[in-house]
Amino acid sequence: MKGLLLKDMYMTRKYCRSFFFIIFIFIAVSVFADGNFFFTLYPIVFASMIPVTLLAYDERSKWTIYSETLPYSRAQLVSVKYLMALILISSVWIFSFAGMLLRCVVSHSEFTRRSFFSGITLHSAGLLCVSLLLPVIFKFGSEKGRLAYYIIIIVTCVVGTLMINISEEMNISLPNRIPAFAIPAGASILFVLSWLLSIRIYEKKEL
Amino acid sequence: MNALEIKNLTKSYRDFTLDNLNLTLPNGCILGLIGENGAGKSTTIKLILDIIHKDSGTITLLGHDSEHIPLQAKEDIGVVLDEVGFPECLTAKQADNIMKYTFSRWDSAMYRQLLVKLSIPENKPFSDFSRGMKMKLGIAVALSHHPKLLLLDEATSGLDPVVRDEVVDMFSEFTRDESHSILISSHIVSDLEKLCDYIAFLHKGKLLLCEEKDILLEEYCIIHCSFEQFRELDPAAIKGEKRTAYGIEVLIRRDAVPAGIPVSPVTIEELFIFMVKEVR
Repeated sequence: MKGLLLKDMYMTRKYCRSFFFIIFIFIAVSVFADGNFFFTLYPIVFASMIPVTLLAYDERSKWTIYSETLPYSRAQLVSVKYLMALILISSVWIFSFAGMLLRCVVSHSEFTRRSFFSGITLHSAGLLCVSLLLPVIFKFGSEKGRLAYYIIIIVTCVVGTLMINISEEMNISLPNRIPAFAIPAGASILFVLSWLLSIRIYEKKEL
Repeated sequence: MNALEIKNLTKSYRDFTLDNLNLTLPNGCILGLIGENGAGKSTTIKLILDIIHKDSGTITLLGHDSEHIPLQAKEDIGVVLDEVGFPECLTAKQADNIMKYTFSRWDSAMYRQLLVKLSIPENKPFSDFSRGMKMKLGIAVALSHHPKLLLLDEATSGLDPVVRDEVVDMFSEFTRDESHSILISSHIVSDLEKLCDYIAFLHKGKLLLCEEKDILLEEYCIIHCSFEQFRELDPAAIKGEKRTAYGIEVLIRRDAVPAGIPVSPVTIEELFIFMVKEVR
């Protein structure tokens, strides 16, 4: 599967430069955006869109069909997109998390348990986004799945931001009510289920 | 052993049916699949590769059921599709790196030799390639992992005549090894006539014939005759006819030509056109 991963790396480097630029800008802004979680959340959601973009390019160049002729199973062809998602989300998350720490330094605030909880939730939001998106794209293709794609992105961003903002406004401390590991564990389970579902969908698909 | 065996293969779409196809490609041979656009050539190749799923029938590829072909066996199959399928941003050099990790028998030295031989630039993105150039890259990749079977879908279309000739020679060279075989589809009949041992005609999803090329060329001929002479011919021996103001041109089995009528040899292209028109 190394060959597939390398191909996606080449494509990410070529096609997704603007994505990384936007991600960098958002992370930079998040350092100075006082309490607005959107700027921290968006880069992660944006990173989770990259595997979907790669799939769209694969379809356009007919790689999806050609790759069937190579010594790869359909499970491997699906898995490489999930691996890419994991690599990209985790990489961007490290920078976002660093941005959160930097914000604490800039605003002379304390890095609380809530901040840590928010940081962990960020990674989970990325996984959630990919978990919802990829099976839809594998099922319907990037063209037909486009509507679902936008809906999921918008809903994840809006709901994620609202949840954090409302909890803060109402002074409800979510981290005290939910064990810290519950959200990442839930997101990871969803990610694995989505992975398996995509393999199942793709194995039955006619290309 | 046969490299490829297709038995009673059927695949139906709303507006097209590949109907009960039977084909056999013996080891060491080249089978040419000839048909107009939409005849079912690409559908057949996609079914062989299990890219699309058959409705019924069996396909045996290098001794394996095509639906359950082990990944190891896929290494023995080189494929060039109608649309080659490399991502537009990749270069030939990057394709080398990718294939190195894809095929256990990938031969970088051979690949680089082929790039030079076919004048393919190493560092130019695929998006800047002409259709012919893309095909050449596809052919270089397909040959560089030492396959036993080549499946080529319109692999010579888009190539200029000189390169086409060179590529046809490369394919002939490939089948010098008796364990190597090629299935090639094209609507450029002259290429297949030069290259193939066996010829199959496909028309609107139906197999019109599948026969050894030399037998076809020996068995059939063209005669020019009057309407009176035509009426005396054995209808069972006639494969096609073309009526003009001066008489009739008939594609007929050589052994059924009455004495005294001069015969002309038939080309595969003429044979195909006559047969397709007859079916219409």
